[in-house]
Amino acid sequence: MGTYRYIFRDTCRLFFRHWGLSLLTLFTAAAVFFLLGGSSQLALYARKISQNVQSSLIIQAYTQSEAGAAKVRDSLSSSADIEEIRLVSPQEALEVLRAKLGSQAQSMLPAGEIPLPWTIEIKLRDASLSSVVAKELSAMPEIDEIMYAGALADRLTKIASLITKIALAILVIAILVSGLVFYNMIRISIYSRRQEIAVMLLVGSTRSYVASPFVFHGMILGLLGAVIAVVLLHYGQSYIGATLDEVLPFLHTHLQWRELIILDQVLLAVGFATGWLYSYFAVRRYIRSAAKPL
Amino acid sequence: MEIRINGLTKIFPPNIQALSDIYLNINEGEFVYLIGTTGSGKTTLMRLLTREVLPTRGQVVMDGIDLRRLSTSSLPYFRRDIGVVFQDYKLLPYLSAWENVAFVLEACGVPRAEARDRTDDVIDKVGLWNRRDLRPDQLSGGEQQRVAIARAIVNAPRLFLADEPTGNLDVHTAEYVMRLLLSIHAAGTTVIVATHDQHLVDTYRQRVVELHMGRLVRDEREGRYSISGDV
Repeated sequence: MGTYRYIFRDTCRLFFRHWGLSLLTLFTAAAVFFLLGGSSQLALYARKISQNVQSSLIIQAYTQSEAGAAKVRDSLSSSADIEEIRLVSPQEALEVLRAKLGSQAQSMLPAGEIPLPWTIEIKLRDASLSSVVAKELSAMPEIDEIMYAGALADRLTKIASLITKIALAILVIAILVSGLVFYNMIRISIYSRRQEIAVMLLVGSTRSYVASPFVFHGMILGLLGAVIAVVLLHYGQSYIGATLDEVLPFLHTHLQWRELIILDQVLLAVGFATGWLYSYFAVRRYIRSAAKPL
Repeated sequence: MEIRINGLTKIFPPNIQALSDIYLNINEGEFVYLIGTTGSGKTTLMRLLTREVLPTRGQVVMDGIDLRRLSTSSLPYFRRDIGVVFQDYKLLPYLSAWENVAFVLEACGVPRAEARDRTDDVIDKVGLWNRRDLRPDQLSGGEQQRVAIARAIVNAPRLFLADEPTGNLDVHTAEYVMRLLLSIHAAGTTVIVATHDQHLVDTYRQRVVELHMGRLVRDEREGRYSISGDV
């Protein structure tokens, strides 16, 4: 019980003895974790936009005859990459076109018969396969023309992947930067208490007992830094979500609560682990050298 | 605690010979004055006994344990049997006299209630009950020395080491401290006191071990204080 009391008391003492340094570490950690959380949210948004675009992506292929359209449908229906194939007759296509034009249809469409082709609408299970399927379609003699937003999907996928890589790079940098800050903060705390540590080791304190308050100090600062970052990110996320809804309403880019909670948990875990690990290494290194006999 | 020192030599880098070929046996419950001029190797010998320093050659065996072979994990438990009073006291400045003593027991995992009782006892024993809540900077040199002694004995050590315990004290306070050391010895503790205090050594006659330039030059039962080279 005495051990826990000592750890608690000395951890508090470390906070107040170097309150300026503790605050500096706390805010640096909060800024680093905010950057980390922000880039992770950005990666989530990019992935969501890319997924939304891809999920609504269809390939449209045109052919002159119903027989040709049916043949294409039959040859593709066994493909595992295709989720749905639908044939659209020229009449149906015309109805859709008229509906889209609304009151302007009469003035914009020529009188008499409009020679629209048969359309084959193909929805893929994975939008990244659109180029492959489009290539397969273009090799079929029945197909006159193909339209799909494959290039857009590819570009979005690449952007999402790039943002994910940037977020990972920021994660590595954040861990290194926050680690360096924790490491130096703990070293300064240790330096100011080196006489005390020497006495403690001489009177028979174990190394873990001497190290515990320093490690707890680092862990708590790491966790608090992450908590501040999470709170700021929630405010930021609400603002970004509202702005995106206003500017790009068709993208439906809301991050779900589940995703945000997972991100929060990851940030808190990273904050806690970073504080713990770097404090542990800093104090272990010092105590090892202090306890080494001459 | 029984101490056997065999052929002990300590050379600090680059080539400073602190101790040279020392043979010394100290039996359990003995009181030994360690005397010698500054730089004769007294403090190094004390630090070898607490394993802050390892021998370059030779052995320090305490209660049958060769200190060179003592593992890192056993070292804290070994040190709990040794009470040390440093020349500069090494009290923690932000703790009260009472807390400076209690902290040793806390560091050794002694339960709180027991630690409180034992701390109260030793604080009373060294005559600091009325000064127990003061910080070291509010205490006189003699009082600080007594806190350091209380801290060293609170864990009931089997070996008590004191480096110049009366060095900065007036005669009366030094005698008070000396009587404390004798009472610790009377309780069966092995006591080793490194000192320059001729008056105390000659008044309270005990075994005297003299070091000179790192060599053991005298070992006398109930010896007097006379340093080699003194006129």
